[in-house]
Amino acid sequence: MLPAISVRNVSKQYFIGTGAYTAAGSRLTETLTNTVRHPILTFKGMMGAKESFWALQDINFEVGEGESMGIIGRNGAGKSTMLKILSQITYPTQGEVVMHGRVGSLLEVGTGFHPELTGRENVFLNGAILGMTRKEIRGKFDEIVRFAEVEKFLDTPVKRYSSGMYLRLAFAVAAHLESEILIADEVQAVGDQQFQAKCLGKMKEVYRQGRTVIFVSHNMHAVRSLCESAVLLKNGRIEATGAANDITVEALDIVQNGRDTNLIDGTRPFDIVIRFRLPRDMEKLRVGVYVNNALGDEIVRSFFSDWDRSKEDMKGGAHVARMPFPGKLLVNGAYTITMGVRRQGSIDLLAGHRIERNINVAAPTDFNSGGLVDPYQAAVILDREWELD
Amino acid sequence: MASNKEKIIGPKRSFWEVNLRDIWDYRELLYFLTLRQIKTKYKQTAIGVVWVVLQPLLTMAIFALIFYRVGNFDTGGIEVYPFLFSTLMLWTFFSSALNSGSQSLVSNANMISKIYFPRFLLPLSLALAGLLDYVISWGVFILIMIATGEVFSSWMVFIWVPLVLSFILVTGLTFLFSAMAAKYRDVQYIVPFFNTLLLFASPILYPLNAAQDPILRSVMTLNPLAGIMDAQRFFVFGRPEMDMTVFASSIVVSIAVFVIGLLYFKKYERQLADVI
Repeated sequence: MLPAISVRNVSKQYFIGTGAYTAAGSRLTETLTNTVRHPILTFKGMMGAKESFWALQDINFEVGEGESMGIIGRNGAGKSTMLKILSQITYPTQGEVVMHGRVGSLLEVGTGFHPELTGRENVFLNGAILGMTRKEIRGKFDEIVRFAEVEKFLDTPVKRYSSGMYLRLAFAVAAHLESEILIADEVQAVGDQQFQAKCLGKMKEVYRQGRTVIFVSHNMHAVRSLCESAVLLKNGRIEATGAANDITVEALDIVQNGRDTNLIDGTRPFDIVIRFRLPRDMEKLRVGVYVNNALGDEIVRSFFSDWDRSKEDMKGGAHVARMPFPGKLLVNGAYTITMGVRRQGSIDLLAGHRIERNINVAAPTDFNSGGLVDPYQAAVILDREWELD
Repeated sequence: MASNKEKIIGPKRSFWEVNLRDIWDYRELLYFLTLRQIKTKYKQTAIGVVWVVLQPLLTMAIFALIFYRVGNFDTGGIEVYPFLFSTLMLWTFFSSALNSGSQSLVSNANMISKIYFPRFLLPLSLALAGLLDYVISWGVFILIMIATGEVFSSWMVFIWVPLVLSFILVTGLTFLFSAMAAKYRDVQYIVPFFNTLLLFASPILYPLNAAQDPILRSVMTLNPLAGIMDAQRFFVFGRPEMDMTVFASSIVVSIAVFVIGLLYFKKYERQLADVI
């Protein structure tokens, strides 16, 4: 099968101090006065001795059809440049990218929104900018509006919208884009908590539809929860790629009261049980779980070797790992328990196989939350009591 | 859902490759960009679309007063008001498309650095949106013709020719200026000046045959707008006689400007996101 995206020896060079890199447009006079004042420098510049830096160097990777890949790295690692090349906004200095299928890119929601136009008009305009046809937008219009929760304000200019409404509508249009390849920047925190959860759910749904997705983030966690493989960029080069699958996970069980369940009583502890098989003896292998709440925030992470480095080395064959998870720690709500496997020098990923369990935790029965009138909750609660004179 | 369409993003593209398929593939975006321009142009103005006709009307009134009351120009027997308005309405289309089109890349820098689409749709959509204003001012022009008792000549069947030529000329110029403005912001100061210069260097407020001086004559031959404006007036009134040399020259120059503008634009299009 042809890969949906193949990136071959891509490099991107920027020139520092010349028009090509200055953010605002330079003035003609600057070019002229520079020529007069620094004739030698200008001559050197013309001879190709400009000061330059490589934002990307020799990048190679492939993404198969229907796969999702994350590109991670710190600020300045070259993520945005890679993203811009993939979405055809800028072009590589060397190498090439070959793509099969329609490409949609979500670099920033709301691009092209015009403040004077109504919500309805902006949906069509923004849809067209993102590459949707009028027919597609019309077909999805009701869904978009319902998702954005702006039904009442469809014929109001968006400049009169609250910032939340504006962002919700912008995200809704982008989220309903149907392209075979989707290139997305970080899921921006849009709207209130409730809507954020909805956005994350929508993103996950997109990823499950079998579309090829490239997701760029500096947030390892976001990539882990949305992508199957990843490349890590550092100073414009690929530092590491997602690990090949060296581990076979047979089961991830959540056990309470002696049985495997998704409904957890928050008062009491429960066991996380992982049954897995290693093809051979392995060293420096870190295996464990992450617990995320419905908003995607990582609440806890726990690895076998957290308190004992020797547990990084394991023999080949079948293993069972068990960890008692304390009660009276999680507040009520939905959680995802995801397995993490990491080898040194690689990225934490079970390539192609995300293993997770969704559980619902009921509030501890004797916990005094303050009732419905006090909706504020922290991520965790403590099984400790105050002493009061 | 699989599509076999292969896209290669590489460092180089042939200089001559002007991707005409882009216009077809992105026709809906062109439609929506044009619509956006039309819908937003006079939003939150008290008299809205009246501005479309007010601009050429006021210019007409001012120049009718200065040139034909104070000065003493010869219109060749045509009533002053329709004489001026016939060319001023085409000029209004030309100059506003030139002004807004030249700024179109800079003022949409955000879109350019965030998303891919054929960049020339921006200046093109502005020129297309301007056509509506032109059609509206025709309504006013017909009223002026009736009020002053002038009659349309049978040459009116060719009235689309000057419009098509101005469209070609102005899109070529905006391709050139908008791409230059992305790198050199100086362009935004040059264009309005260039605009004023063109107004007086073209037979818009005076008939072409008023320029008899040999230097002026060669300016008229080189200036593509001269032949266009002369033709516009001739096709409406059937007089004064059209200068075919100047007209032929304006066709050649307009097409040349268009081709040069398009090639320049295409050459710099790929760098736009990096320099804007």
